[in-house]
Formats: sequence, structure tokens, C-alpha cells
Amino acid sequence: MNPVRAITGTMVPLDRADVDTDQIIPQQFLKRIERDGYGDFLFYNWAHTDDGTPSSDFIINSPDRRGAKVLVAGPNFGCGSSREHAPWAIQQWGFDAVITPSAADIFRNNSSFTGLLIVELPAEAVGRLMDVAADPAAVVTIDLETQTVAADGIEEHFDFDPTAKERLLQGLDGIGVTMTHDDVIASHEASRPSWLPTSVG
Amino acid sequence: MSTPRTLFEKVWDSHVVVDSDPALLYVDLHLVHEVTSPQAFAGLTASGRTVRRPDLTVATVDHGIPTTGRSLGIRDPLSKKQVDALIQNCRDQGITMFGIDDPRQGIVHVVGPEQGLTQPGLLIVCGDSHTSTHGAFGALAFGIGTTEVEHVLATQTIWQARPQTMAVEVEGTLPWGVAAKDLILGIIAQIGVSGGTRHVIEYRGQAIRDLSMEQRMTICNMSIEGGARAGMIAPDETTIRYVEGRPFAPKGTDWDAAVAAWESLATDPGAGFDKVEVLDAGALVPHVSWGVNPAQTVPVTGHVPSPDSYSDPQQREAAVRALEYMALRPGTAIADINIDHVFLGSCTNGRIEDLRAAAKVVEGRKVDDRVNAVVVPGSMQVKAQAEAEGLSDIFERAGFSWRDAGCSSCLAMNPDVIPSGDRCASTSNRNYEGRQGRGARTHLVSPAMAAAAAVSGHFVDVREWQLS
Amino acid sequence: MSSYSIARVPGDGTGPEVVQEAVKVLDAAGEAYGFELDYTDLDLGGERYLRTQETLTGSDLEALGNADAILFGAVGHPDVPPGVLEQEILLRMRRELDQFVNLRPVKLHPGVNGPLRDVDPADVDFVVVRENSEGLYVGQGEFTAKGSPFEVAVQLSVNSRFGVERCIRYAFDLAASRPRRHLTMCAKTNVLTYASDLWARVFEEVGAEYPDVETAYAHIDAACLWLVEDPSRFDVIVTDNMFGDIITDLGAAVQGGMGIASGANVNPNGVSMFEPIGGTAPGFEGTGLINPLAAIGAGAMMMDLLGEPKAGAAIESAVGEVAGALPSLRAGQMGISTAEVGDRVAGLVAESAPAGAAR
Repeated sequence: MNPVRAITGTMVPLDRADVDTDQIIPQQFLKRIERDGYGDFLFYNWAHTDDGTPSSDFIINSPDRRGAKVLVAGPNFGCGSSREHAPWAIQQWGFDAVITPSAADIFRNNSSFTGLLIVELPAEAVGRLMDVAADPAAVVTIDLETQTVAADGIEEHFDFDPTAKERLLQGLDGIGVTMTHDDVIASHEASRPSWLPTSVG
Repeated sequence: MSTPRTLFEKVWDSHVVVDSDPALLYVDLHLVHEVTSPQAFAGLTASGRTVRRPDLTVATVDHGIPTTGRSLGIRDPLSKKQVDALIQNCRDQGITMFGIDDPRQGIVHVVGPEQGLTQPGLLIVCGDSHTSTHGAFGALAFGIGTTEVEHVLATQTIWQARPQTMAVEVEGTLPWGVAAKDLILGIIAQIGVSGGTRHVIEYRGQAIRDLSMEQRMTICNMSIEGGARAGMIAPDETTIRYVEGRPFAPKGTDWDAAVAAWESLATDPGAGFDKVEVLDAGALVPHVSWGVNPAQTVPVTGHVPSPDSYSDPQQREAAVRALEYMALRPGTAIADINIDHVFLGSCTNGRIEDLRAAAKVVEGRKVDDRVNAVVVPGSMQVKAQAEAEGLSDIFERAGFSWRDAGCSSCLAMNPDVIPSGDRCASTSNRNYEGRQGRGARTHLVSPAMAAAAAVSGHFVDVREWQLS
Repeated sequence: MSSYSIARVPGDGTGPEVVQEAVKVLDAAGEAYGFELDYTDLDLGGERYLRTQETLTGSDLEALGNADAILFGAVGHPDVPPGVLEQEILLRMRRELDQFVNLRPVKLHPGVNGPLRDVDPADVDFVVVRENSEGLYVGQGEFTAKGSPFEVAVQLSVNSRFGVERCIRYAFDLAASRPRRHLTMCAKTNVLTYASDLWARVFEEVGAEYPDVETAYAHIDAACLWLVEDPSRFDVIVTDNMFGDIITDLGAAVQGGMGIASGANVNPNGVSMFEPIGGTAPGFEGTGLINPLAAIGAGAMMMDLLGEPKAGAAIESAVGEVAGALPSLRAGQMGISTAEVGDRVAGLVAESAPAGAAR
């Protein structure tokens, strides 16, 4: 994973609550065995008409939103299914961050592994940001180190889990870090009761 | 005297390998299916790693496989590739897999419990959000993403930020005709789709203790729909009787040791929760969802609500969009909504008790001419048991299509797609836009309610039917 | 875009020419319907055997097993002892890859002059599901006192519950997926009181699980008679290995001959092989006179079973149209060359592309 320090870019506002991961990436795309190539399928059902042509009135299809880096969304973003394909699609479309009043647990977690930055701000601040984001050219800067979001007339601090922050700032590979604890894992393993189930009976 | 602890805290504490925040927890059981694992296995191999504990890993195929015509093979080339990848990966890594021809195959959250793999006090993960189902046994069970699947395969551990705890106290008795499905829909209606975010819910109270294991699984299954990280129910005599004798359950002296450990798991008196919600089971009625998330429900005796009934502008706008997608007008009586399809199945309501409840409603009756009704047992074992009990005959005589096990129409990754614009009364767990097929309109209900709708062609209050 | 890896085995005689036309049409279908085919060529057959004494090596089998499907021409050579190539390439491939169903669609396209008089083409449209792994083909038996006046030759037909049941299940699922939902089992229950008895029992037991499929039984001799006198009786036929061998050749004659008859050796959960059922036609090698429609039709079956039913149907439909317009399906009597036949079919397939199709 590439280190994440600061993100500067234009925005796409999606002023809806409870955007679930079925909307972010519908089920047919979960049949793929690849990790990449999901960008074209982001919000597929909202972004395409029944016959598969891109829908001109869905915001991510607007030419002036191309290249946007930050998705500004309503509360409970990413609820529902645990499909990690959801943050993949968001990131592969081109977004580096999502700003929302609240992200669903599994989605927030999954995003941290791909380096998609999830920033939670109070609903009122997100509302103001939505207004700014109405202008396709408006720029927002998110600084992970200082934990601040800055845009036209807006300066907000956000909370962020310190461990996830370190991991993102350094672009750390999860498994490698975990394996530095191999000896404690092994000693825990050795102390597990023998009656616990195994697949070999 | 040690501090009183909740069920969650006891299970959490016993799995901590590195006590930091987030903590590193040991995984007792890693369940795997074909959709969220291919990239994980590929990543594992690419980095030169192997599965640390194949003996704590069990795989099955469920999401994309057909429920009919299986002898012809998997006709969808992408689904076939996914299943072939899982077969190869399990073979390479020595992982037990219940494949499409295995009599134990089924939906992963039906298979784990019925095989006795799911036990109290375990930490269970799976690349699927409805892993919360296993919490019904007093296990800490939650869904993970593909990257975490790879991490668990490699290390048999998972980093988790410690969640907060919520108690949902349900007192009273579930009235006749009101199912566990209605209870969890009632809970979600009360706490909202994000009410449980960052929390693990423990379902407590007499009404919960009175539930069978399968009913408890229905409850815990939909914890995620309330935003919760996981849902748990303390193990008790009901739990112990259910697990005893199952293929992977401990036997002999191991059994005695296990039971002794399980009996100590329940929340200690005096242990506190970060949040408490209270419900009266006696006040519940059969529910039907009208909208596009599991909190948008009303009693079957009720009406489609008006967006104006929402004070929050965002919720109001969401309701407007939901009504448009669902092609419903405010004020329409739920009982007047006609349906085109009925789907009886899923990890929420695809077990033998669910099929019995539906069969009871259907027996001696016929599916309405306009309705396409399908029963998908949650596993091939459930299917076999249902056939032995004569339930499949009841369904087929009534005009249901009797299928092989899998996730099927719950999320329509297989050919069982609900056509655009059609209405489906479904015993599954999500009514999101497009979930059952692009443009499909899902109404979540209990098995008895789905069965009654199949016969009537529209929603009915199943309590009013004379059932022996 | 979906991509499929195809093991291409041109083989001997006219095999390479007809496979070339099949590929031409498949590539046109790929363009029109949005998929890619990656071919790996395998040199199998009499020519190679004569050069290297090899029939099917371990690495050949591995390559075949790794493909998504096998497109096969024909094998055979006058200088190779009879049976060597059949046993060591064809039968061994079927066994190793567990292609336990031989699938033979028999369809008389309008305009084709078959041998049946006064028959409505719509009445000849059925599929034979032939058990492909056991029966009389297990090669078991013995001679006693061979060469003497007292010689006895015994040939075994091995019929396992497992083998019979999986074949019959396949046939029922296939029948259930077709509009007519009708399945006829052909056997000889009045004579083969052991083998056919097992078949009949399995047929009835499995049939109980398919209340929607209408079943029928026909002794194999009666079935041959009806195939000529009243082919409309049949939708799906399921039968054993030897009876299937016979009735599918009869079917080939009825549908217009070797020039049009295609078949598949199917492993529903693994790799299947698709071929024109005719042989190498050594007299026509290199003349540009052989009929490639059977090989092209095999390609249609291949795409259908790979999960591209629209492309498969388009190829099949184009084959039918071209076949109906030719003066004859016989090699050398088609009026146009092998390549021109391929061009015509490919052209029709390209035209059939769904408008504005984007994948």
C-alpha cells in the first residue's frame, strides 16, 4: 500500500444517507477474481441505464467531475455487505478519500487496508462541505498528519484511530507487521484447550 | 472477586494475543466461500505464504452456484472460475471444502452451526457480513473483507479495535404468528440501521431465552442490518443440546470440559453495557419492509408511510427515493400490495424450522397463479431433512419450485435473479436497491408471511389464517 | 471482457482445415459478442505418432486439462495400426478428463436434403446424451481357446450405479432446461436383464425428482425404427455407451451426414472437448472440398457450454442458414470451397451482433 499523507483535489458530493455497498458495487461484479478493474463499475446501477449506457444525470459521469479525489457522502456510508470490492471500486475510480458523518464499521475497516482515507466529520460540517462541493472546481485538502480538512471557508479537525493513522502514513503491509508477533501467536496457540474444534475432527 | 464481565468481554479477553488498541485476536474458526477468497489466496501465494492453520479453516460454495440443473455444471463462466479457484486453493492448502457435490454443502452460515463447527465462546470470522449469525451460540463472530481474509489465512489472527457493547433486552413473549424475523426487524426499526455501529449487541431477556437456536440465528444474522459489529446470545441449555452430537462437536471427556467452559460464559450479574435498548416482544406484530433498507418496515396491518412522517430532511428525501424505486404510494395498505415472486431461503431463514413454518401455511393450498415461488433450503442437509419430513412434497404440490442449497435470490449472484420491476416477498435480510437483481423490488418478511403471500398473491396477516 | 483458453487439436487429414474454419467463425463471434479466445495448439494424431511414437503424453494431458475447453479436429492415419489412436488418444483423453457424457445434438436444418422423405425439419430436433465412460467400452473380456474350433470370446458391459446415475441426472437436468421437457431412455430391458435393469431402476428413481420432465422408454431397436419413421418423438435421449454410438450415427445420417454432425465429450465440472464427429476423410485432405460445418457447429456447442449462449446460438443459426442454402452437404458437392463456407458463416455471425453491444 502506498503511504497516505495529504490529499488535495476536487470533490463529488453524494448527499444521501445510508449508501450501502450493494449500490457502491453491485453483486455481478463480485464474480471477478481480480483485485483491480472495479473503477468502471462504481455505483453501477445509479450510473448506468438499463441497457448499460452511462447515465448523464448521475454525478460521477459529469465531465467536470472527472479527476475528483474526494467523495463527500451522507451518514452511514458503506453499510451492508462486507465486500471489500466497495473501497476498491471507489479508489479505482479515482477517489483517494471519503468524507462522511459516519462510515459503517466493516467498510471503514476495509478501506484502511487499501489506503482509501475515511474521514468522519460532524453532520453539520459535512453539510457545509456539500455546499462547497456543488462547485466542481472547488478544492479540498485533507491532511492526515494534522488531521484537518480545509476547503473554501471551512477548517475542520477530525478524529482518527492512531494505529490506522500510523499504518497509512507509513504504507505498512498488515501481514508483515503481524508476523513480528509470531512468538506470542504461537504461545497462545499452544495454550488453547484441546477440545476446541478442528476440521480434521 | 474479579470484575463482572459481559459475555462479549469474556470471549474477547480469552482471544487476545497482543493487548494493544487495536488488539490482536486469535481466530478459532475461519469460514471461507468462493466470492471473497480468490484474491486473498492469490495474495497469499504471491507473497510466498501458506495457510497457517488449514485445520481451523473450512470452505463451502454458496454465493454464485446454481440451485437447479447442477449436473450440467456451473454455466456462468465467472462463477465457475471462482468455484474452480476455491477448489484448487483448498487442494493446494489442505483445507476441508464442502464442494457442490458434497452432501454437507450449503450457505456458510447454515453449514457451520449444523456441522457443530460453530460453538460457544469461539472467535469466528468469514468474508461475509452475516457471519454475525454464529453469535447465536455465544461466539464472537463478525464479517471481514478480502484483505483480512488473507491476513487470517496467513496468521490465524485479526487486528480489531475493541467495540463498545449494547444490550438489547427483550422481555415478554412473542405472540403467536410473530416470528424471530419480526423480532429482529422490530429491533432494527427501533435502533435504526446505524444504531449498532461500533457496538457488539448482546440480545438478552426472557423472549430471547425462549427462542430456539435457529430463531436465535435469525436474530443474530441481522445484527449487521442494525449497523452492529456482531450480535451475541449467551449459551444455555438450549445451545448445549443443539451442539451435542454434531459431527465436529467435542465428544467424551472433551465434551464435558467444553460444556463446563461454556456454562461460564454468560454475562455476570452486575456487568454493565455502554448502551441499553429495551423491547417488549408481546407488542410485536408481523412486519413487512416497504422501502430500500431493513429499517423501512411497517406492520402488515399498516400502510406505506408518507415521507412527511420523517422529521429529518435526509431521511425524508431517502423515503421519497425509496417509494419511487419501490413504486409504492403513501397510504397504500400493505395487504393490498401484490407480489410476483416469493423467495424462501437465505442464511436468515433457510433452516428446517423456517421450512416447517412455511409448509404449515402452504399445506393443502396452492401458490397463486401470478406468483413464481421458490424454496431454497439453506443447506443440502436441510434439504434432505425437509424431504424426509415430507415438506418438499407439500411445497411442490402447492406449486413451489424446490431447489438445491445456496444463497440464490438473496443477492442474485447466481441465475436466480428477480426481474426488474418485479416484487419479491423474501425471507432474506436485505432489501437494498438492486439487491435481488437490477430494478427488483424486495419486501422482507418471515417465512410464514412469505408462504401466505405466495398463496394469496399479496401480503396477508398470517395470524388470521386458521392453522392447526 | 471474458477470455477463454482453448486447447486446439487440429489432428490429421482434413482435421486442420475444418478446425481453421471453426476458429474463423469463433473469432468473428468473439468480436460480435465481446469475448476473447486464447488458443494453445497441441499436435496429436497419427502424423505425430508416426514421427515420435507418442500418442498422448503427460504434458499433453496437462495442457488439455488446463484449458477451458478443447476444440478437436480428427485423428486417424492409414499407416497407424487400427485402434492405437482411438484407444490411446480419444478414449484416454475422455477417461483422464472424466468426460462422462457424449452430447450429440441432431437437428435437421430447413433446406438440407437429408435421407428422410416428407419430413418436417422441425420434427428432427433432439439431443442424445450418451454415457461415455463405461458399458461395453471398458475393454474387458476374454478369449478362451483362441484360434481353435472351441474358441470362446466374452465381452463385458460394465454398468456402475455411479456412472449410470450421473449420466441420467445430466440428461434430466438437460431435459428440464428445454422447452419440451421430455426425456426418453433407450436400452434393452427384455434382453439385458442386468445392465438395462440397472438403467431402468435409476431412470425411475431419478425421474421422481423431476416431476416436470415427461419420461418415456424405448427399446433401442424400436428407437432406431422411430428415429427414421417418426423422429418428432424425441427431445432428449439418454442411453448407454454402445447404443449411443449406434443411434448417434443414425442421427447423423438423418440430419444430413458427417458434414454437419457435431458432438461434445463433456465433463460438466471440468474440461470438455468439442469436435466434428466425422473422421479425417483422407481422400479430401488439402483439396478445400471438405465440409467444415460440423467443426463450426462444434464451436457453437463449445461457446454455449462455456457460458456464452448468445454467441453459441448465433453460430448455430448461421450454420443452419448456410447449410440450408448449399446444394449438398457432401464433401466436394457443396458448390463452394471449405474456406468459402467458413466465410459465409463468419459473415452471418458478424452481422448478428447485438446493436451497440458494449461489454
